[in-house]
Amino acid sequence: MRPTDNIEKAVKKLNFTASAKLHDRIWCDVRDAQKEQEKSKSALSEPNIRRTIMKSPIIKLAAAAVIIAVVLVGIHNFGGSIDPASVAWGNVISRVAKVDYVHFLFVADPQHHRSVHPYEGWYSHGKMVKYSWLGNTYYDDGQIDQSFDRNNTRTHKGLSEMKGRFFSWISKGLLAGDNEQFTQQMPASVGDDFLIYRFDPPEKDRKWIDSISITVGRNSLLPIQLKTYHKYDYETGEGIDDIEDGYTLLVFDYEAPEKPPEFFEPPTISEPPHGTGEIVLNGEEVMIDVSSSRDIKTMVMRLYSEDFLKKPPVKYKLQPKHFAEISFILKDGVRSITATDVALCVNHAGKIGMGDVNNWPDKKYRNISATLFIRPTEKENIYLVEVSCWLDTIRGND
Amino acid sequence: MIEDELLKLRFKCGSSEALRRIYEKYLNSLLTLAMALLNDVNAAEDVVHDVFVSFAKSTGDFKLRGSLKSYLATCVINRARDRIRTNKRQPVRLAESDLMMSESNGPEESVIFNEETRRLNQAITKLPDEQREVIILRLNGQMKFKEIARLQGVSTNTIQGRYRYGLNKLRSILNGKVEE
Repeated sequence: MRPTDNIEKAVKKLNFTASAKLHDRIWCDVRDAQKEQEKSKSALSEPNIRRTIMKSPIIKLAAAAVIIAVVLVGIHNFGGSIDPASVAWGNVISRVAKVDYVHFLFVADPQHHRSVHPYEGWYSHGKMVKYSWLGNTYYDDGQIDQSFDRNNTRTHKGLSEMKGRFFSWISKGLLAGDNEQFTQQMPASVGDDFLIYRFDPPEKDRKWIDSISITVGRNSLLPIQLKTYHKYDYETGEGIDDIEDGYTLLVFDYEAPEKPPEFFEPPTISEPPHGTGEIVLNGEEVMIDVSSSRDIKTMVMRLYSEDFLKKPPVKYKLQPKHFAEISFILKDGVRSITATDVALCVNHAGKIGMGDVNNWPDKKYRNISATLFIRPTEKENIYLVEVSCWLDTIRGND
Repeated sequence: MIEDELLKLRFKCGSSEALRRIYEKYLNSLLTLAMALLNDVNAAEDVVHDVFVSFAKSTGDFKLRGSLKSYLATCVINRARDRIRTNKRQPVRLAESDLMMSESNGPEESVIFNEETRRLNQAITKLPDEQREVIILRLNGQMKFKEIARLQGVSTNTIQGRYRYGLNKLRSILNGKVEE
């Protein structure tokens, strides 16, 4: 390693932490400054614009000219006679069909933003890339979709769900080119700069979606925001556990700088795993040293076959499938609870997450995400385990 | 990135919760930056204090298209520059009254780490201002060369040169003790 790298690493690690006293001292002043600002703003009365304009004949004329210009521009933008309240959804669909590039963000409402993982994505000419806050990256080229963890280890490969029809896919079919069910629908509200369309969810999504509203630019007729109101049936347990009753937002940005084509290509680099070890199927637990991971010292693992656990036979897509008991010991000595029945397929990356506050003896928030591979060896019933793992201690900050 | 965009939006709408989150999120990194530039606990505290207070006062009028982190880092740099210019303050010894070193797991390790950090921080303050800023902003503030170039008003090539020269000089100052 170059000596410069060590200096770079050392400077990167340079970190001062404020003591609680200092933290509170500055925070008190900061909070007071914001409160004072709020007070002084509300104390100021709104200037009477009408009175200001009508006082001066020159400003009166200028104001009249501005009003005329605004009206003319408005008329021009809507072809002289189109009433925005009568712009059918079909017009939005046909505008969207011409979009080749969009940047998008997915977030949940403030109440649920900690449990629903946000993501950021880019769509360009039939290809899509999504970054999740958990560190995963998804690539979809319209034929194949693939997921990679933050170690660039592939954790999924399958047929594309998007199939090159990005807007149709992301709007649950509402923006599909052949969707005649909704094409004649009119806006539910008309604003100065936007139109809002409200939809009942498609049949297949009605158990967990209450309604969908899409805000569209009044001039561009392009979707700006897609808001999905979720619901949760407490009797049947149908719906998304993490969000229950709440909403998610998809925000579209058409002005973001376009990403180069190589940005949409999946990675080829893969770093070595944090730990490796051999494990006997239905044997003793093993401790695998993962200390090259930043905060985790050891993974403790036991591997069982389906027969051993006397599980009822289930037909899995990937065979053979085994089950593991897994726990982690952190470098500060804290041990997580043991996750049981973690399903792992031979020669296929499995991803596990273990977190929140209840899974730790000190009830502090921690989240471990790990990628596991089990590979067969020449010896029967002995597998090679490869594991990479990461610890996050701040919710939604990874 | 998305979190910061939402925080910016909520802060603009007057949310004190958003201000609190921004404060919690960036306090330590801004303190680190101010310490690296000034090597004086009191001065660093003053600078970070002033940056956050004037940031809090901008609620409502706040407009920012770029990165929140870079914006706050730029505010710290500008105030630190003012302070150096006005006081002609030479880097002084680090006082530890209110600052603790992070990543310390126990008393022994903490002492070792403190010494290392103090030595490194002192070495950094011996660098010329421009080189020091580039190294700290690049490595600790994770800013791009392009952003630093915009901040210092020079070309990206100049910034890369300053970074390279700065690292070499830092290595000479530390006399190979940081290197393994």
